[in-house]
Amino acid sequence: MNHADQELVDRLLRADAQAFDEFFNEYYPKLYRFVKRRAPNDAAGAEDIAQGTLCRSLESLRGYRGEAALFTWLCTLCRREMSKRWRDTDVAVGAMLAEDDPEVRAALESLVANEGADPLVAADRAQLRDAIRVALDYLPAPYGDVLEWKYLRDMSIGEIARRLGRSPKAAESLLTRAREAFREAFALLTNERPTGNPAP
Amino acid sequence: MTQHDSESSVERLIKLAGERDMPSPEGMQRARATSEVAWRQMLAQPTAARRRRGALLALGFALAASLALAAWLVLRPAARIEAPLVLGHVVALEGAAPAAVYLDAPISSGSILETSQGRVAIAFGTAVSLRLDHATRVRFEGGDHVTLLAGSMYVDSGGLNVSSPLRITTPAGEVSHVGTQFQVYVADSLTRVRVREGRVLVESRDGVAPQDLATGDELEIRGAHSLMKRGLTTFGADWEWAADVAPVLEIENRPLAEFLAWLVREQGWQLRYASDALQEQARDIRLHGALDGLDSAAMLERVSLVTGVALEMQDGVLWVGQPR
Repeated sequence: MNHADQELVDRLLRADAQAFDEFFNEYYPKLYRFVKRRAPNDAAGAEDIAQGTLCRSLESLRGYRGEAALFTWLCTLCRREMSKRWRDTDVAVGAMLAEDDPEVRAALESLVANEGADPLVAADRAQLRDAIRVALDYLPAPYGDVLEWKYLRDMSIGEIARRLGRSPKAAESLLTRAREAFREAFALLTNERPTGNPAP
Repeated sequence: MTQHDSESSVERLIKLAGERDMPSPEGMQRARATSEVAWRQMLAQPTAARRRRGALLALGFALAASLALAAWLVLRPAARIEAPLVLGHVVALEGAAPAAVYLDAPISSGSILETSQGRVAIAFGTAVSLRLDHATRVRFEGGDHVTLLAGSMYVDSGGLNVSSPLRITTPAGEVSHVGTQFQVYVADSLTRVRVREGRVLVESRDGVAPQDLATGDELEIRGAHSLMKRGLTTFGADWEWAADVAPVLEIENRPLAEFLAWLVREQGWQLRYASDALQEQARDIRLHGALDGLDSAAMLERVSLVTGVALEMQDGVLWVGQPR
């Protein structure tokens, strides 16, 4: 059972408005990207499906038992929304993605720190980017955001700490855990461990 | 591999991927509003435990009043769920509306109505007529406030002299009116307001000064950008869907003049009498029967046939008698 997810759901069931904000901010963009990866040319459709999924999930929130990670549960609902919307249309749905593999999904749910030193054999850059983004989306909150803040927006540990409302030491520790979790998720998706420069 | 190497490889990969895609701000706003409603509705639903208690309560009453009283004292719901307010009713349907939408269905505060493949007309409050086009989602906030989440909504406030305030929340801001007919359309990042009669005030979310729209005006807002068009026609294809779903006037024993006034209002036409005598005559002629299932042209043809009064459409003007 994922205790953090269950706690968030419990707070939502107690009408905690802050929990709703956390839930929405965390999962709406992730669901949007989950759909968009499967229909890259339908951004508006991805927004609608992500919105519909959030509504369905909130309507049936009492049915969440914490047996799967909250994002995995949401993805299950999202697949239903996608097939409902695309059943009668000619939207070309992308090929099965690595994250659709049940084994990969299960592994992503139980991310553990794992140092490794295997060389990176880079695949096509677009696929690589997708894998990185998928890995970031599957990380427990707020790991993905923290990694982006640090490496894409060049935020200092102090700035990250302030944004998270934690001490610099706690933020540093969280960043370390985020890196480890990312490495594990990336390895699961690509069968490679990030060790050096990605191939051009 | 050192910790520095490890960090460096993660950094390179994340820089390679760049920022992850984000939904549009409008999409975020819409999704937040819609999902918050779903969440609050879920919270207002009795839980399974409460429903079981309710069932036991009913059984208790059936068995014996004294036992039921005891059961009620022990098993009554912990908190009372307040009944939502009924704000209006469905008065007309066209096409394949969802099963939950039927004639006379009450419209409750906090509820969301989706038209799907159908069109729906609602008598809202004391005087307002709302028409919802295909693929439209509306949330009914209160007696004078609705949120248009997607699609097209037409509003007829009942006339310039009727006081029936209504505020429509859209992704672009608030739309309110002063006795009028208008339609609002929302799709993705676009909000469009068209005025057929009267005046409409649009207050943008982006802090732009409120915009006052009059008859024939159209305002399109997309994010921080807006485009005003003036002098547009107030009838024709853009408005026909709203008339298609209008509740049909019951004409039995009503004056011809009243029918004509109703028809031109629904269609956005103007009414002209060829002579004062014809105008007087139209007040005296009483109609009989029904006009259900007829479009505007067929209505005019039938009424003209049974009354012997010539009715002719010319460029948005309905002439009673031969046009001058």
